[in-house]
Amino acid sequence: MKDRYAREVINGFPYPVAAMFVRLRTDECLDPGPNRLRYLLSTGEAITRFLGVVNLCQARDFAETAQRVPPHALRADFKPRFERIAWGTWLHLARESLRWLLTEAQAMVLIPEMGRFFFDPPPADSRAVKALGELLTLRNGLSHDKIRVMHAHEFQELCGRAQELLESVLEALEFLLDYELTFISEIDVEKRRRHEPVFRHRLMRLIGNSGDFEGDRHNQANPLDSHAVILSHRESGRHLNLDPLLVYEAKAGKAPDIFFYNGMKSPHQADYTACKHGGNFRGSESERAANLAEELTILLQMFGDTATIPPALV
Amino acid sequence: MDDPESLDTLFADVGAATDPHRSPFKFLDAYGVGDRSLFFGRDNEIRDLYARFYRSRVLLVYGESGTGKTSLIECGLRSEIPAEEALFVTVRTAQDPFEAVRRALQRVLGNAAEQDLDALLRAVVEQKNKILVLVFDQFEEFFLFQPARVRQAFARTVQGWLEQEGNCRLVIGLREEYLARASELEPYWPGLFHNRLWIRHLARSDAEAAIVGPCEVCGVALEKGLVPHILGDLSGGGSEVELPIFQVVFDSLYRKALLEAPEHPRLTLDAYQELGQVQTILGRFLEERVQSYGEGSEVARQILKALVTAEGTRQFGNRQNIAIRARQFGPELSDAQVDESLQRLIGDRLVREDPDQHWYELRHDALARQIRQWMSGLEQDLVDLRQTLENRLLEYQRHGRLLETDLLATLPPFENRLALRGELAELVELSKRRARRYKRLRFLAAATVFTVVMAFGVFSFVQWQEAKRQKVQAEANFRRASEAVDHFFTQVSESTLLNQRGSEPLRRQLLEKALNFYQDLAKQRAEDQEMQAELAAATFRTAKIRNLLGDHHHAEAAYRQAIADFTLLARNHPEAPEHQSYLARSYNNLGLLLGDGGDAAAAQTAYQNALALLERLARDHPEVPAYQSRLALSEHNLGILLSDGGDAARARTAYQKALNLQERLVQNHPGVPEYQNNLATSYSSLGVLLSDGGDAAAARVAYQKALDLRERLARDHPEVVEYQHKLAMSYNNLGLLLNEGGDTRAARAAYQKALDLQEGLARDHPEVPEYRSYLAESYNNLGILIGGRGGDPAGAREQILKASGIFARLTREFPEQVAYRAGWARAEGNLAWTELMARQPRAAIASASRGLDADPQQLWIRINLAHGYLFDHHTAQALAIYTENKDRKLPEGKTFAEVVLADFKIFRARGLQHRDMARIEQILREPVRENRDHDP
Repeated sequence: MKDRYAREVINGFPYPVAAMFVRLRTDECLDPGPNRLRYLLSTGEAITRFLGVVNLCQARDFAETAQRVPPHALRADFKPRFERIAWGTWLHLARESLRWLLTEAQAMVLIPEMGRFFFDPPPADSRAVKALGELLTLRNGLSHDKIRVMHAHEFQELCGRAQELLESVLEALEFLLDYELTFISEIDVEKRRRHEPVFRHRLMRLIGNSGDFEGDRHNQANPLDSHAVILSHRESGRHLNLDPLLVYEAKAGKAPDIFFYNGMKSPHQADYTACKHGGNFRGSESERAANLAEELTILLQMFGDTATIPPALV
Repeated sequence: MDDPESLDTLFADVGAATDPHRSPFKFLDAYGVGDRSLFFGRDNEIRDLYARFYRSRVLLVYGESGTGKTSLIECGLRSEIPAEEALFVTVRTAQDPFEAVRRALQRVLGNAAEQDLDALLRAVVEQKNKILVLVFDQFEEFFLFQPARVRQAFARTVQGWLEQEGNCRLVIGLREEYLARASELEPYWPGLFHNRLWIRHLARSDAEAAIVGPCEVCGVALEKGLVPHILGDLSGGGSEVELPIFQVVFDSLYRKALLEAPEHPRLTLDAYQELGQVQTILGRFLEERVQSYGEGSEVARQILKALVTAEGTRQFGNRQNIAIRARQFGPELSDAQVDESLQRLIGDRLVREDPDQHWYELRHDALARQIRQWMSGLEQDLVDLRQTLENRLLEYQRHGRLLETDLLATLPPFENRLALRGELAELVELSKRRARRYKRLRFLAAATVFTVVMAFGVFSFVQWQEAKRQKVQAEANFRRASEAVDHFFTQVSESTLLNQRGSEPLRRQLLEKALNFYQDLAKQRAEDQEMQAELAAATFRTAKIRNLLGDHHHAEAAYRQAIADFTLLARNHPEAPEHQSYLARSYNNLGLLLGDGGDAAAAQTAYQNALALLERLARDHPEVPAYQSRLALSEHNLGILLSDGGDAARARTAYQKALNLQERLVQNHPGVPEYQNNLATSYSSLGVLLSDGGDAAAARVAYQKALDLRERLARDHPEVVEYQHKLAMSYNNLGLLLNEGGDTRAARAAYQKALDLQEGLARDHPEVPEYRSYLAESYNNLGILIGGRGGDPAGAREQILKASGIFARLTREFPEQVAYRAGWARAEGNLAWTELMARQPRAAIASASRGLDADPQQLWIRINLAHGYLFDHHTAQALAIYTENKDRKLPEGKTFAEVVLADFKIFRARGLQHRDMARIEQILREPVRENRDHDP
């Protein structure tokens, strides 16, 4: 991978991917060894999670707006898989959600490039998705005990292979540079006599590797969903709400961070894991516990084996 | 297909090493990133610190010294954050902060090419691909050592980094007493105070975890009940434990246990009991370490003192700095001595070395506080002055500003001891040259040290007036102004320069300025409850100034007011010993004042009040040697009062109490010359008492002890002029005693030693008239000895003439000084006697007349005048004097007539006869006189 592109990934990719990838360029991870292997795999996992979140949320939105029931391939074993979610499940959900949307004529996907990323030539898996799959296989071939006794040349070999796979995935994801991940922290309304209301959005940019999440302001006539992480196209402004699968949380974790949904016993007892430094938290510990549980319940209802179609608006 | 094991679990502990023989305690070192497995009891703080670290780009960690701020940052925070996420660069800002950051960043990049600091920082952020965390540890040094301009420039530079480098953060470790000072950075470092964490001393429950946890990790056994017992002692009944003491106690126990059972160390209650009192354990530890160096202990003390700031915190330095600073505290040290001593101190874990820069510093501020207690007042002033000069050197190097005349004026009394060299010496010399040039232009011939002092006084006064005008100023500024005046007052009241001829009006004027300040302070802040202690202290100082100005009446009133104020404060705040200490000082000073005024009974009551307070303070605070020292001084003062009042028995008891305390102080703090000096003074006073009481043998023992101590002080501290002066006084006292005992040879040798020292002092310090006065007294005494029974009148005359010459000059220079005039009269009177013995009655008449002109109150000189007239055959004039004064009493109790008759006996014995002597004897009748020579 060219250095220029690596810098673009670090500075312009969504935070969950960039924050993990940047570690591969630190002194601690430069040499092939357990640390480098760990972050090569972590970056692969972060990419898969992110794609899974995006595609599942697109599918959810389509199901809601078009009042369509997801196909059996997506619904089969959804509940147990979703409750005990892991790298492989995310990959499965990402691929099957997108496959469904691509077969639906009415479906409007936020990221059209995603189709080619997954299926090239359709309906076969693309080289990038196969690489993600291989990274997953590589990771599943490892165990704690095995790593502890691995020799340097084995690390070198594994790191070389993992890097090759990761690079091919990242290069295929170049289109992500056109999208922006933000968190809507606050919305104020300004309404003057004889004027339409203006919604002032206070945004936190979740782009690049910095966990500072610099603030920004944006005024528009229609309000977006508050306290939601959204992915939007930089030019068109089209957007996708990633809640409750990707959330910003300032208090419940070890530190303010972006968190992936990471399995649950019930919608009220969902686990979240940080993209970088925030540790873990239980959904019930968040100030948005009720919202998170409600959204997760909807997902279970929508994609469960006995799927029901919730009303578009509740 | 999925493995439920997370990647974090999968790679956990890979590559981690174990060390079963680690010490579970860190002694005075901070915990580092590799010590996480031993760092217990601070989980809550670590969690808070971690969360706050990510909340903002600036994190302020503050707390008292010894609360473990550095450990929490360097171990707690750093070990929570993966190395691949953040690069921590710890920087100390005591020296040039820009250079300190540059060096630290260059170290990160490894011999980076010379470049702009901003570019260097950017290069680190870009090349390392992680958050750059600048840790400004011990950041109080920034305020202590950096002048305002440097602070502002640095704050602005850091502001630029924070704004431009998204991946740059600050973590600041600061002692809480500097929190207000940090507000000057707030405009530059946004949110400085919004994202802060207050670190407190370890709670007892956490302290228990901090002991048990590391012991379990390292396989160290703990006797049941040991931990609660020690924690009870360490917390002194409170709920918090001071970490440095805690570490020293447990580390000492661990090392003892390791010696007894290296494979299975066990910490026991018995071993703890052997260690002794917790409060003094650190001081004793330090003392024992240093004592163990034998002959090298004094060198080690010098070096340790060189590593302490004027505020009693640690300061670092390289070998050269340390050697130069150590010169302030003793003889010059060779490179080999410094190296050897530093290596021993490092080996004993008292000092640590920065391996890159080869800087050395004490391991903890707690040590600095102990070492500071070794220093005398003079040494503390020297440290303060050197620190000021070093700061000013930085400013000179950056902005070309030389030293002002007021600062230069404070240097002369300290210059020998400061032993300035290299760049500092050049700065002082350049500044002096500039000052001289400036003065030549402005004042031409009036360019004397006196003018410099005047300039200093005026400058300080203007500063104070300016401060006064700014009524609405922050409390911190107000206190600083108050401290400045305190310092100014100390300078003025103790300045030897201000004892020079003609300086008295200036001294008085300056003291009155300080007095006005304190009085204004009292008026302005009379209603301010929080200022009551400062007000009482101001009243105390007012009393001291009044006393120095000779206004004893108002001084007494002010002391009584200070007593009333501090009595109230001490009652309302029994937990604050400083109020009781001030109260005791007020009583003691009132005692001195009343004693001098002749009210011995009231003075005695005042001393007894002081003693009662100091006894309690010394008992309740054995760790504060100053209380014991003050107690001893008050006992000594009482002894003098009782001795003057003729109560020799009680005076002796008081002296003995003072001596017992001072002996103990010297034994426990052999490195504090002030205590040795006080002990010598008490022995000397006891010697005078015993000598007056006729117990010459015991007096000689006491004098000898004083002499031994003073000889050692003068030898070990040749730079302290006062010790040489006191040593000379001791030789002089011994000479008097020996002469009275008839051992003229030994007495002469003692006088000669006194003279050798005093001649040097008078030559080297012509600005101190007291040294010349004492020299004259010694010449006088030696003359009396030489001219004594069957002696050498010519030789005696030669010595006494020297005395007379010196006193005559002093009288001309200081006409208002009664003591010099009296000394001159005494010398002339003695001269007249030697001239009588040498059969030179006309010369005797002239000398006695000069003596009486100088001081007509000295009746005994009139006797010599009459003798001169008699032998010069002016019998009528002689007879007139004899008969006119015959019944008058001399100070020693004899009548004029008795002394004359005794003199006649001596004349006859020496073959001096006059035909009218028998007739005069008949007139005067009772002949009783043995010795009319006055002792100095």
